[in-house]
Amino acid sequence: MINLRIEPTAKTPLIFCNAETGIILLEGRSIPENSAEYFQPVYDWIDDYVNTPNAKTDFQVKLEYFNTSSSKCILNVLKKLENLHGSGKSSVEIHWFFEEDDEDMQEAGQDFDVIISIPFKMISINQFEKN
Amino acid sequence: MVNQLTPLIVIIFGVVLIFNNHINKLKGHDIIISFSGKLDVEVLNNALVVVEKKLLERDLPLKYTKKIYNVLVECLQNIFHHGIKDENGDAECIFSVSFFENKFHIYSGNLIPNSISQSINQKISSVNKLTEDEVVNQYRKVLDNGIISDKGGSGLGFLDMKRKTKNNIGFEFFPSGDNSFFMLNLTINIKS
Repeated sequence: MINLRIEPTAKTPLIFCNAETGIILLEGRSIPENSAEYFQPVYDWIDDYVNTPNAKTDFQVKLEYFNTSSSKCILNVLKKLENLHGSGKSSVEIHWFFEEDDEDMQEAGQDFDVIISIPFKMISINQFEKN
Repeated sequence: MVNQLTPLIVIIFGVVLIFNNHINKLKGHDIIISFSGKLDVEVLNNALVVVEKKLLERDLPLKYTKKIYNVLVECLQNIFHHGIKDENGDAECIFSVSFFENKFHIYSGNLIPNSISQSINQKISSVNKLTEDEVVNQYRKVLDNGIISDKGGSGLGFLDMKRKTKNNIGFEFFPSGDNSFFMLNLTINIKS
C-alpha cells in the first residue's frame, strides 16, 4: 500500500505513515483551526492499513504543541490502533515523546494512556530537534 | 442608512471603549502583545509567531513559554470558532499577553450573541468550581466522548485553560444590544 507523508507547516505536524515498517509518526505542532479535516487522510490511511498491517505497528508522537481539537483527533487515531491491536493482526505500541520539563505534554500522554489500552511508553527527552 | 450603520458604530465604539479600559488595566504590566481589531487567520498566525519569539527571548523556563503559547492558541481559536463574524468571516476582538508581579496575564475578548452568554457563564462557573483532580477527570471524560462540534470546538477549551493555568478563569460580559462583549482573563503564576 502507498505510504502517507504530509509535510509540516508552522501549525501542522509532519505525518509519516509507513506501511512497510509499521511506523506512524506525528511530529511538530498540531494547532490547526480545522483539526478534523487535517487528520482525515490519517484516518483513511489507517482504515486501509488495518486490512494488511505489519506484524508490529509503532505510533510515535513527538509533539511540541497541540490544541484541544487535535487532542480529539489523536484519540481517534489511538482508538483505531487499539482496535487493530485487539484484533491480533498487529502488535501495536505507542511511544509518546515529551521534552523533559514539559509537564503539560507529559500529562497529555497520561490522559491517552488512561483511556487507551495499548502498551504506552512515555519517553522524556532533552529537547526536540528543530526542523 | 443611519439605521443600518448605527449598530456597527455602537459595536466599534463599544470595542474601542472596552479596549481603552483594558489598556488602563495593563498599566505597569510588561506588555508582550496587545491587539484590537479584526481577527483573521493571518493576524492569528502572526500573533502566535510574535508571542513565541518574544517569550523565547526572555529568561523563562521553556515549560512556561509552551504553557502561555498553548493557552493563547485556545483563546484565539475560541474567538475564531465562536465569535460573531462580519461578512468577511473576521471577528472583532481584543487580546493581550503581559507580565506583572510574577504572573503572565492573557486577556481575550470578542462579541457573542446574548443568547449564549448564559450557557458560557454556566460552563466557566462550573469549571471554576472543580478541584485540580476533578478538572483532570472531567477533561478525560470529555476527551473520550469523541465529539467535535460543527464549529470545530472540542468542548475542552475551558477545562484546558483551567488545567494549564492552574488558576480560575476570569470572565466578564459587557452587553451591547443583542450582543455582548465577552472578556476572558487568564493568569499563569511563574514560580522561580
